Amino acid sequence: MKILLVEDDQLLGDGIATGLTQAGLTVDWVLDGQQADTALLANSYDAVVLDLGLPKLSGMDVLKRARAQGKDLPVLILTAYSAVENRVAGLDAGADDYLTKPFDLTELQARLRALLRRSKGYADAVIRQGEISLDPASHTVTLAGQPVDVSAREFTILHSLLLNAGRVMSRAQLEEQLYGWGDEIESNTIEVFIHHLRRKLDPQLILTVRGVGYMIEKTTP
Amino acid sequence: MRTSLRWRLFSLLAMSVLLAWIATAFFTYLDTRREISTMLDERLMHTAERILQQLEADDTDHHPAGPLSDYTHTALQVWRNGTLLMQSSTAPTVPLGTQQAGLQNMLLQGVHYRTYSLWDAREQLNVRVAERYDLRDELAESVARHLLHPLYFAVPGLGVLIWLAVSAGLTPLSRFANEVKQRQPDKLDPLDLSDTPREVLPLQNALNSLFKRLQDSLEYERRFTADAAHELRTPLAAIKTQAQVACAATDAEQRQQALGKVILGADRAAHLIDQLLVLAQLDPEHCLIGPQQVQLATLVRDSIAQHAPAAIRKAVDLGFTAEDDGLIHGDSTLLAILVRNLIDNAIRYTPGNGQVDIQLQRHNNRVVLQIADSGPGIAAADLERITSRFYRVLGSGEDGSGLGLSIVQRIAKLHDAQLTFANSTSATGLVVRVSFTAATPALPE
Repeated sequence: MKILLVEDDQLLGDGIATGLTQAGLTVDWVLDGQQADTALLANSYDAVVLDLGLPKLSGMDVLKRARAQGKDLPVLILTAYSAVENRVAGLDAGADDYLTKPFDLTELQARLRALLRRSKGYADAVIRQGEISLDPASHTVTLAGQPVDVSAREFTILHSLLLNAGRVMSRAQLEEQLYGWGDEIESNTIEVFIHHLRRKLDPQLILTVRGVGYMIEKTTP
Repeated sequence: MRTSLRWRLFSLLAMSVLLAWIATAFFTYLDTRREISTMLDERLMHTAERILQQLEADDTDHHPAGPLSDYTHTALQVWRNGTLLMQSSTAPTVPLGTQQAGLQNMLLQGVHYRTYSLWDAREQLNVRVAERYDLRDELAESVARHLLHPLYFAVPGLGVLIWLAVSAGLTPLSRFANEVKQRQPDKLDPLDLSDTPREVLPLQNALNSLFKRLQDSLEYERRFTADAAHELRTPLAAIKTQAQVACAATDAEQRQQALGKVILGADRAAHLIDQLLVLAQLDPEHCLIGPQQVQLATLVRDSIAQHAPAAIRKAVDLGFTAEDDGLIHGDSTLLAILVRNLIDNAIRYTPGNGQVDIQLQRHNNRVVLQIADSGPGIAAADLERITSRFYRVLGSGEDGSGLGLSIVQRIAKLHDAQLTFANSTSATGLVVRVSFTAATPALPE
């Protein structure tokens, strides 16, 4: 899951970025509204964490422009203003959720998970697919009730494929989920992670669509 | 003892009325006395004439005292050629005056008399009549007493009336006082009572101006508190987030880094609070207490010494040229804060290997402190807002409190100094000038 973080405060931005990475999310962090606008145009994100008081272009403007461009990704706003009208204005401008500073990092993580789940059409916090179930909150994967030990990146890939079950994910799309800006992308890593997942879970779970990418078939429960 | 306006008015009015009345009564008494005097004199003369007529008509030799016995209040003596012919029983045993005709006041046997002497040349008769003077006084007093009688009833009645009138007259004042008394502390809109008397208008205007200043002060305070609370939220959020990152960190290095940032965040919040406290002390209503002579050059040198390490770390060339000692009147603590904030800002917003030039100049009777940096300067549109609270140069990546220039502006204002910001005309960067009134007179050219 790839998140765009827009926060102009160095210390807070650094903290959120690290905290979200700890939760298994991939984070791109920009420091002002203009950069946020550009980043939203150029990349595809699963969600945005947006501070409202931003230099150059206010968070509210970033949000309105993104919605005007038809981007329907979930947006969580961070605001220093706790007054009801500020929160209402943010939600009415197209935000999906808000948190007032100072907030709890675990709450931010949980709210983001909920937003991501909803945006992919799942109501249940735990994603189930056949015998496999994946819990984004506790970062655990089980196969027929037995916990399976997967690495953070394997988890991210499995999570993406499960959320997009029935759709083919390209290698580039999966890479984007794994790496933020400045991360060095290693070649063939996606293949390695897919291989590990097939070995740990079920060889038939992940299908290769040659020349396109990978997918998990959507089963009707 | 607090004076009461009502009592004051009442006693003044009552006293005036009483005095006027007493004066009137006194003059009436005098007037009455004079009238009575004239009247009684006439009666006296009339009596003498009547007796003389009687004596002329009768055979005088046979009526020694007959006609005189009727007179009880009036003393009578009839003389002929210096011999007392007869006298009334009320007459004293001494001659009642002289033969010389006319009215006279006499003291006879210790009693004051009013006498009238009538001389009839044909009969050689001299009729002398006299009345005790104290009778007249008694009569006059009695008349005056009657005149004063209504006073006994009128004075208390008048007192009540005056009291009521004064109270009624003071009603607009008590309404005004009530209006002020019933005000809630947060209701500070101007008083506008249609019936405020002209005499109370200065008070109303003074109160309204006080209300205005109070409202401004309260509004400032409210905004300040709100702004301060919001500004503290971000550093607190940073501290909390970094602390939670440290808690959740799986490796020691990440935990150490996050904890370091927690400390950094706490330092930053403390700095923000310090600046807020300085600013809070510089309330707009605040004025400079006991300005002293301050040598600006010394303050600048001290401040530069403190900032040198930071400048060296950033490889910023920090220089100072003083054309003048910069003697001004002011508060040295506040001026040191002003200088510190300006130098701190200049170094903060100047990129590495940049330059900060500080100059102290003398222009006639002005001492001008100029701080020029080689930073990015400020967009023309933002020059206006630069001193507003919590304004930060956006995207500078610097984490100042956003209060520095607000503080500088407030201190400059307290010192009646002119603070100007301009972008450098020769190179990039911001030029800040603070122009103070010099403490020493301008040197002759």
